[in-house]
Amino acid sequence: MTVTLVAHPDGSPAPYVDVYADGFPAGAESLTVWRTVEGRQFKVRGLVDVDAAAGAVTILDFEAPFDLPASYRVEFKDALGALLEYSAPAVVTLSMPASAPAYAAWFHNPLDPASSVRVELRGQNNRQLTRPVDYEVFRVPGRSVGVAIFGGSRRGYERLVLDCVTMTAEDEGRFDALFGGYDDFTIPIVCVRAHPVTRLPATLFALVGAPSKVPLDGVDMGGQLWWGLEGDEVAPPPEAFVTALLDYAAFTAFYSSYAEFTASYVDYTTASRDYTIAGTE
Amino acid sequence: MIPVSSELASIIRAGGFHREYVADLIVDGQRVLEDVPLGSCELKSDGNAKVRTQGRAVFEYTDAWGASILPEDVTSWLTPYASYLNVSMRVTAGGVSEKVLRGVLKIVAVSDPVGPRTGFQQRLITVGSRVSLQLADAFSTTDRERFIAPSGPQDLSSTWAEIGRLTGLPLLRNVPDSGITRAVTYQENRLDAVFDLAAILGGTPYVNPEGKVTIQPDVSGDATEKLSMGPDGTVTSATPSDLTDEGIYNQVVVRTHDDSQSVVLATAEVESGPLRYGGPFGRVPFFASSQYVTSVEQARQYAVEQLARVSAVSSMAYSITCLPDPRREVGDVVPFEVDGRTLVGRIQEITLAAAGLMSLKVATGG
Repeated sequence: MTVTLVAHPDGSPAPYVDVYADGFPAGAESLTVWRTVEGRQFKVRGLVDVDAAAGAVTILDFEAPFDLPASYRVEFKDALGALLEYSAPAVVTLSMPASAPAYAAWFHNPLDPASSVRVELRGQNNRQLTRPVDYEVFRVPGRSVGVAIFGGSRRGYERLVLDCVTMTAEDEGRFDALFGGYDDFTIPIVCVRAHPVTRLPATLFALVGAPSKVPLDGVDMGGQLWWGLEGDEVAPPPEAFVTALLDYAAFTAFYSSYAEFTASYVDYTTASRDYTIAGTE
Repeated sequence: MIPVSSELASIIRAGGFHREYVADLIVDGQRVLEDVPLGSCELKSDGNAKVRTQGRAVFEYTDAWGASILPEDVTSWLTPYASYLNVSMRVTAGGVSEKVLRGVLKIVAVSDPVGPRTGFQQRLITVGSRVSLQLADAFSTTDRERFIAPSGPQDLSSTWAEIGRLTGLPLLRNVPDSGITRAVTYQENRLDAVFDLAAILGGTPYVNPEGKVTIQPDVSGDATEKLSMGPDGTVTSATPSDLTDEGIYNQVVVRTHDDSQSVVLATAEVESGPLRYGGPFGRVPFFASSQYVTSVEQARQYAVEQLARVSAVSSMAYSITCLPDPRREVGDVVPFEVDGRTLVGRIQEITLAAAGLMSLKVATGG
């Protein structure tokens, strides 16, 4: 059992970690890949309860955080759905691209990594990161101090200010689309990855209910636009779903015949990792 | 009181803990979900209700496959047909975390479905779904069951066995068994028949937190842990409940028949005190009858038993609010403090919600 991780800081459309696992143990029917960062566990999008029959799985993880060691391990289940074993963890650190300033951040719709937009986190020097606790304090006559009773766990970040700047008119349009267009069903949960100095969660899923554009009236900013965003940290949308960057259409467009396709790759797993032909259709 | 570990008991007395309701979802005997936190859950147990424990909760669900918990057909998980929630209050402080089972409750109503969906490649997937649930203990089912023809006990030797036969539920035989005194025709409603049978054993039947049919004896048991005020106390207020003369009587009249259908009559009156028969409270009779009372002697004894219930017990009740204590049960005998005095009463009602204080109604004996 090996988990191979390759960080691609200059990946397109956003930095990612290439996750590849093969050599599955006997009896494994399905598997889920987990990413652990600073003690928090996330399922790796697209590798949730996937069939182990192929003998290898691969995905580009666009939710890997920057400049923090991320540990990946595979959970195997047998035919009855019972835990078979966990693989040994493999660790990778995805650094920010050298060209990006420390205040750069990538936003994308978790269900579609191709929607990634690079922005600059600006205008938030008064940002406070608050994670409240649900509590009640009761007064018992005869007790000078109140008695606190807590409900549930400490919550995630609330009213998180994510003000940022998009740099070009094209980015502005794509960024706006993250929160939904007219007459569609997009839920405005965005995945935000930023440098750890921002103290934002390593991989943040934020629900931004009311994104606002803040144009400077009458001033030509050269395509730059300031955005006022406030979000609450929420659970990611269903992790089993992801829009593939490479699909069947890309292969049919790139190769003129099936024979040419089969001659180009030793097996299907290799083919499914050839992202060089993505987007050529 | 529901037994818990001594660590948990000391945490509950001290305060400063986390509490939340969690539930296991049992669908037609299969456990399909475990330890699901329930939102806005409130359970109320009322010792005077036929179906003692009832409640409501909000059930939230999300999974990696974008599935929805909203009911679609009779085999869906959250339907008011064959789905039960084992509802526990989980108390956590420091390294100690313990679940206290508060009820095996049937889902009796499902409402307010909410399932936000998002588009994903020409279809819609659910991003977390939520429904509101009404819950009630297993007697809610028995209460809907009927005898389809006039029926009576099949075997007069054991009242407990007959209760088990009528309800089809597991039993906790907490009071000594006795024979059924007379072959009778049951009331049409099965739960009414169970209440009549339990009266032979000297108590009121209810479904305990473990989902077993139990009898709360009319005679008070031993005192449980005191509800105190002051430096080590947990009571925030204890005040007399609203008083009315509704439901208070000073005479019991038993009217029944013996085996040869002759009328048997017996009465019992309150003889002294402010509630005395013919005194300032007047002459207020309570008419009782039981098919199991067949002789004058039994009728007299029955009248005396009933008199204690209808005249004294509910004559003074206190409303107590205190820090949440998931060990308390209706029927517990509990000493409590009011303005420095210690009174002893029996818990009649408990409301324990996921937030706020616990409220109790405690009846003191005369």
